[in-house]
Amino acid sequence: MAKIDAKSDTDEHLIGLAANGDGQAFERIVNKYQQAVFNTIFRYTGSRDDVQDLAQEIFIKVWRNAAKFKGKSKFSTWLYRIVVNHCINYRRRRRQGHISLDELAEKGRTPESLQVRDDWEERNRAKNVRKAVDELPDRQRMALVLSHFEGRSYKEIAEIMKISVSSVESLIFRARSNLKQKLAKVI
Amino acid sequence: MKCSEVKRKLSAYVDGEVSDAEGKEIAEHLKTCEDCQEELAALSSVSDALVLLGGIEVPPYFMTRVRQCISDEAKAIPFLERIRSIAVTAATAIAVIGSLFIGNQFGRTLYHSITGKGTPATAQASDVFGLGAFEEFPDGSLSDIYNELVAGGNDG
Repeated sequence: MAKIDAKSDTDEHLIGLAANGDGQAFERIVNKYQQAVFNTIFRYTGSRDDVQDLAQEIFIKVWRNAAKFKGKSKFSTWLYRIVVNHCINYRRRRRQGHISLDELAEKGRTPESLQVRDDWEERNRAKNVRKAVDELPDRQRMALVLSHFEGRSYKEIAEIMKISVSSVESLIFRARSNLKQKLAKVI
Repeated sequence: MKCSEVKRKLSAYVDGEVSDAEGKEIAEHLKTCEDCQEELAALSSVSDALVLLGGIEVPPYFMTRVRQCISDEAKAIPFLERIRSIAVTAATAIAVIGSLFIGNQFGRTLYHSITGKGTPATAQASDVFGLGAFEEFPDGSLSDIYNELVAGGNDG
C-alpha cells in the first residue's frame, strides 16, 4: 500500500501547487472550504441570491493570488481575510445601491426545515433574527459570524480582520449586547 | 471581580476565550450573583436564536462553474502572453547579437592597438578579402611545386 504523505495534504502544500497552475490541487482546496465560505457569506450578507456569485469570485481571487500566499499565516486565515474583504465590499456596494435591509432580510428567507414545517411563528422569529443580525455594524457582524458559526478563535479573527484580540472581544461583546436588545421581545 | 467586569467578560467566557484564572473567578461569581446568571442566560438565548439564521447548501454544479471560469480566463491570457514572450525573445536576441558585435569590434581594436599590426581597418579588410592567400608559397611545399609545374608548362 502506498504511503500517504501527510505534508502533501496540507492546505499550504496544496496552495503552493495551485500557484504553479495545478488545477487538481486547487479543486481540493475548493472542495474543502466551499461549504464554510458559502455559509459565512450567507450569514454575513443575508442574501441567498448572491452567495454563489460571491463565493465564485472569492475562489477565483484565491486562484489568481495563490502565488501571493507566503505561509506567514495559516491558509484558512488568509482565505477568510479574502472572504471578509469581499463581503464588506459587497455590503458597501449594496448600501450605495440603496437596497433596504428589509429586502435583504426577505432575500435571506428562512431555513428550509422551517419552510417545510410552515410554522408561521418560527418563520417570523427567524426573520426577526435575520433582520437584527443585518442591522449590526459590519465589523460586529463579521466578528460574530466568524466566532459563533465558524468557530474561529479570537486570535485568528484578529489576524483575519487585522485588529487586536481585545478589539475582537469588544466587537463580539457589543454584537451580542445589541442582539439581546433587538431580540428582547422575540427570544 | 466586579459585576460590571464579569458582564463584560461573559461573552468571551461563553466562547472559552478567557484565561484559566479569569474563568475560575467568573464561575465563582456566577454561583452567587443572580444578575450575572440572568445575563448569561440572555447570552445563551441569543446564541440559540442565531441558529435560526440557518445555512446554505453548496449547489452540486458550483465546482464546474469555478472550473469554467478559470478555463475561460486561461484561454484569454495566452494571446497576451504569446505577444509578450515573442517581444522578450526578440529583445534578448538583439541584445546578445549586439553585445557579440560590440565585443568583437572592441577586441580587434584592442589587439591591433597592442600589437601595432596595421590599422584595424586594414586588418579587417585582410580578413574579409583573404589577401593572405596571394602571398608566395613556402619553398618546397606541394603548392610551390605545383605552381612551378604549371608556370613551366605555360612557358614552354
